[in-house]
This record gives sequence, structure tokens and C-alpha cells, in this order.
Amino acid sequence: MISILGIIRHACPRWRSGLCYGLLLVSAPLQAGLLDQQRGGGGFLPADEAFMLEAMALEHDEIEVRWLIAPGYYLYRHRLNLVVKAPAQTQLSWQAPPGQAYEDEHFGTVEIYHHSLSLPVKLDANTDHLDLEISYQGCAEAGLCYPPMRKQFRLQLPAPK
Amino acid sequence: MKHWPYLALTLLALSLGWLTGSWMQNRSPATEPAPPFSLIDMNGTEHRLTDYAGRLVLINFWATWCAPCLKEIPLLNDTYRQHAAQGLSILGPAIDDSSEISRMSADLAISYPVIPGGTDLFTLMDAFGDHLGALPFSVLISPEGLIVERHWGALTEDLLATWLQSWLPATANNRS
Repeated sequence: MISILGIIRHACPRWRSGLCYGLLLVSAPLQAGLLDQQRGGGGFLPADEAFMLEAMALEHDEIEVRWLIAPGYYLYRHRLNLVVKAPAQTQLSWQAPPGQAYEDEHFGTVEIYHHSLSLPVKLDANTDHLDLEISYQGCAEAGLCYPPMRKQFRLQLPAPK
Repeated sequence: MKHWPYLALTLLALSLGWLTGSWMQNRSPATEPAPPFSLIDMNGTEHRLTDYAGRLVLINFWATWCAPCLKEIPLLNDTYRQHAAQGLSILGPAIDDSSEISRMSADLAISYPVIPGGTDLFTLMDAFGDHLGALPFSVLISPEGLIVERHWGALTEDLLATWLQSWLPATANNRS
């Protein structure tokens, strides 16, 4: 997004002058409104910005799945799942790390992740690629939950060493 | 400290920005007609927008996997019981497996119509102005069929009271 404050600074050589501060007074509310429109409803982030997911091949028999979780949002541990779509005979071995215990009045004690999550995954098949489906679900601490999400990845695996 | 006026102006500008952002976030889209809908509740009864002409309608989208949704339902239940006779209707479209919705509706003793549905309800949410696809999402429709309020996240008692005060005339009269 073009920064309105940036425009003012370029347009006003002496940007601390009264005129430029007048413009600043007008622009700051406008900029706040534009920033709000870039976000989703009620100021919440779209799911893909709240939970940024990537999957990468590390070795022929190892991949890593990572989430970058926006501040104020969290992922549920019990909602994580990985499914191999192809080659069908590929077996995955993974264990989600312990999360932070969270007491929910309806769901009991669950574990959640803040900030980031890294999931190492071992493979046991001899293949050069992997089609993977990753499922996860999370919420905003301010009281909004995103539906269970599923993302498909095709990973090219390095040759065995 | 000759720069203090600039510092004060900067703080003022930032405050105005914050206030404007908050205002834009919560402003009422009071002139937008509600999209037509046809929803079948768990008892097989159809609910259409036209059935609710003259009533204030709160549509609260929820799901059984959504903790904040479950938390706000007792408040909606109470509000419905207190104000249905004054012209308030509540509809609860739920995005989930029917059996799960049925079980949770019974557990929570939901007193207003619950409408089970799948991803088609996300399309309806979109038509009501939601582009996040997250829950809970609530929309208030005026007796004239206009969308007058939208809210993302759990409703609070204060917010609901403000909505009713503003949009349910009988409530305002009772309180005066």
C-alpha cells in the first residue's frame, strides 16, 4: 500500500512545518481507515494471513511443515493432520510437539500453539515427489474461529545421498 | 523542548487515526438491503427473508467446533426469550455435520430456529458482507429488510443491548 505519510514527507521538504502537520492530521485517520479495509471483517486477519503455512523437503526422507502464527491467534494441536495423497503407499511419521494447555469450557483441556509451529515429518517411501494434504484449525484470542482448513502441497524430494 | 507542539500534534494525529479506524470497523451499513435467503431448520420449517418483514432479525452463524460461538449462545437464548414478543427473531445457521449440530443444540437448549448447513452457508455469509469465512458472524436485519449491523466474533451483552436499544423500538420504549 502506498503510504500517505510517505507522500507527505516527500511533498514537504520541511515536513515539520505547520502545513505538513495539518496534512498529517487529515491523513492519519484516512490511513487508519485504509489499513482497516485491508484486513478482514471486524479487523480480523484472513485465515491465510493469521496462519501462514509452508511445507518444504529437507531430505529424500524428511520434510518440514511450518506455520507462522500471527500475534493474537492460535492453532489447535488436536486439529493438525497430514495425509499423503500420492504416492499412496508412502507412510508418514510425525509427532506434534506439546502445546500450551488451554482450558475450554466446552472442549475441556486442549493444547494450542502461539507464534510458530515447526513439524518435522519422516517419510518411508522411495519416491521423488510427495502430494500432501495438511489440515489445521485455529482461532483468534479475541473470540473468532476459522473453519478447519486443508491445503495441498506437491513437494519435490531430493535424490537419496 | 521546542518540538513539543509537533509531538503533541503527532499524538493527536495517531489518536484520530485509531478512533477513525475503530469507527470504520464498527460503523453501521444501514442502507444495504439484506440478500434474499431460504433456510430449512432442523424441524424442516423453511425461513425466508420475506417471512420476517416487520421484525428485527438477528442471524448468528455458528459451528460446533467454534468455542466462542458456543459461549455466546446462552446470551442469545436469553435475549430471544426476553424480546421475541417485542419483534425480535433469531436464526442460527450452523456449519457442521447435522448430527453434531443436533446434539449441541440439545445440550445448549437453543430456543430459536437452528439451520444446519454445509459450505453453502459460507456463500450466504459472503452475501451478508462477510469475507473472512470465520465464526461467529452475526448480522442484524431491520424490520424494513436492511442490514443494519454486522459483527465478527462473540457478541457481548452490552453490544446486544445497544443493538436492541437502537433497532427494536419496543425495547427502547420499555426502557424509557
